[in-house]
Amino acid sequence: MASSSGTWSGSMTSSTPQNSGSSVEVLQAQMDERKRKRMDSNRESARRSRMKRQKHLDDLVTLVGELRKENQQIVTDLDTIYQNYIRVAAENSILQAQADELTHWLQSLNEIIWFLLTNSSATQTYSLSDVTSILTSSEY
Amino acid sequence: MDKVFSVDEISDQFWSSPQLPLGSPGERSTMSRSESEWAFQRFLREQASPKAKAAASNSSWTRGRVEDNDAMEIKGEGQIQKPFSANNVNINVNNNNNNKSARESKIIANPRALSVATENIPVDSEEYQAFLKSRLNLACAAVALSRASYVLSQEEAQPRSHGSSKEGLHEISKSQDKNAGDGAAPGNHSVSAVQRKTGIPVRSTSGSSREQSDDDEAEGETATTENLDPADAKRVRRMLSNRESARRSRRRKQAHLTELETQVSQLRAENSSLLKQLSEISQKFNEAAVDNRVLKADVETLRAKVKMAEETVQRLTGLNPPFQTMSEMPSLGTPPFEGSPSDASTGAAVPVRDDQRNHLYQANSNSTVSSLQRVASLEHLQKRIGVAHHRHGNLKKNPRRKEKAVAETMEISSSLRPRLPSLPFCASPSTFFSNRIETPAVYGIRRRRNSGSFSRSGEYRARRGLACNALFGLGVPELVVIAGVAALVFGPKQLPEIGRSIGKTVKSFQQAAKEFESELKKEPESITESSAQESEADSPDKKDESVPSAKESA
Repeated sequence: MASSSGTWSGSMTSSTPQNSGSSVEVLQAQMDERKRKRMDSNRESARRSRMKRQKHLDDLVTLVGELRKENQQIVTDLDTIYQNYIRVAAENSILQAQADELTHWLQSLNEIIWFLLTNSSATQTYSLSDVTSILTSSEY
Repeated sequence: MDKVFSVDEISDQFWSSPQLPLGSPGERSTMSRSESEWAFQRFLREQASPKAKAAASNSSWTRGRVEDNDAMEIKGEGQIQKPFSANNVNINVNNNNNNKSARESKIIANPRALSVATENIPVDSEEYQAFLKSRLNLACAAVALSRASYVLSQEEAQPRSHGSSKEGLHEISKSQDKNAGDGAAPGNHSVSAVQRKTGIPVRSTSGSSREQSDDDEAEGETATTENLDPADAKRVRRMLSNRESARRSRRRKQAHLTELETQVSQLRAENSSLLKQLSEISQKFNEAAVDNRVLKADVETLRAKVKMAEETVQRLTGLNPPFQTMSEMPSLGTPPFEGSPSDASTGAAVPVRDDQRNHLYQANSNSTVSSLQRVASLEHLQKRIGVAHHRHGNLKKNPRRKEKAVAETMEISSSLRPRLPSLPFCASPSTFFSNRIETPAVYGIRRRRNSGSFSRSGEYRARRGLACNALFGLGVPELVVIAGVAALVFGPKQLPEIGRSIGKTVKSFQQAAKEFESELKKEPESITESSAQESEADSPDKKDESVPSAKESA
């Protein structure tokens, strides 16, 4: 059946048969078309989803790598800063001790000066300016 | 046997000259996936419809059981081969039909079958479809039967045919490999067992099935149902295992994905915690650095103030306290700050200090007896300070010692302060004397170090006092007083003569002393003693003579 074969071949070329040999055939051809199209779209969507999944996986892998690297970096930074902090804290304590000692010494010296000034004020011949200067220098 | 050859020929013929409207095999192959599957599915759906099914099945099975199935087998083979190749079922069937119609003459097989084939071509599309279905069924049945016959009959030709049929199937299956994944589901319910068989081998056969082909013969029927041949059973099993492996791989993939997700979340949490720690520590560090700088500045200012205070204390007091300023931060073990430089620098101020100290002592040590005690304590303090000054001990100890000493002085001074106004004048001679007593002892300790010049007479006297110690307790002022008295007694005119005489006596006396010493060292003592005695006798005699002579002259 040449006509039938022709119709069939026409339908297979994904084009509506122009020769309407039978309405049923045309309808079936159209249905075939739609089915084919749906199948194609399904395939495409499946492919897209597969690709998306793969991409997601790859992204995760790269993310894990990056996070690990970043973490390591942070750890090293932390160590260095901690070392520095300890060093500075030790220096601080030393300085504090020195400052305390110096203040005590200064206090004692100032007391001496005070006592000397008040003690020998009757016999000494200090000018008022001298006394005031000494007192101000000793921060009383 | 005849069947076999005919089948081969026909199949070859069919394969060799495909006359499809679509033309290139490439197109056919691209369209195969959809079209063949679609055709198959359509076919199945149509099969499901009772009308066609009944007609088809009836016709097919009846036909399949016809003894004159040679042609059917042939047709079946051809038909089977075609649909599962790159060609559409319908097209194939069409082509087959066309070919059949064209090559009816070529077929060596039973003309009856051919006539049957030609006769059966319907005019209407529905009948035609039914016819197609029936054809397909026949083909499947034929294949099954042929396979069964091949297995049962153990002739030489069988392996060949079997192999050939297998090969044909393999070819079909290879072309259909792409369809396997997406193609029609194997579990086709409405399809007969034969059709399923045809579907299954298509899908499950792979390159390894060729290896199995030789074994299939040897193996008998498996424990599967009667419908499944051993080969099919193998294929079924293989398919199942493939499905299982696919399932496993999918599960593994999913597990991997979830593991990655958890890792990501874990790492993120760790990251955030570490960052927080980092920020905390960096903040602490910054604060510590700031404090550090502040403390350094404070220490510097304190040092400056301490220096100034020390200077003022040195200025105010006669003490030359061993101020040993604290070293710089990096090295605590710097050499102690020696007192000598400070003493030298403040040499000019020393007499003032001494005077002040004298005054201080005068003021402090009053008429009461306890004043002497206090003075003694002060002296003790001074000694201690001097000792401390001499010692170059530990840096840290010295300030404390100094502090103690200074504290003691402070205490003493504070205790003596109320006695300040009482009787300075009365106490002066005692203090003076006491001072006199003290100063040599103290200055004896200290003045050895001092090399500075002294302007005041007191200092001069003090210095002289040191030298005069050797002259039997008679200091220079004492000698001057004696000379003045002598001058008054003898008269001023005779003073030079007296002076000369005194000088001579002193010279002789000194010479005698030197001789005495030398003789003591070199000669035996008796001689030296005698000489010494003689010299001693001479010197006082000379002195006495000079004095009375001086007196007589006066």
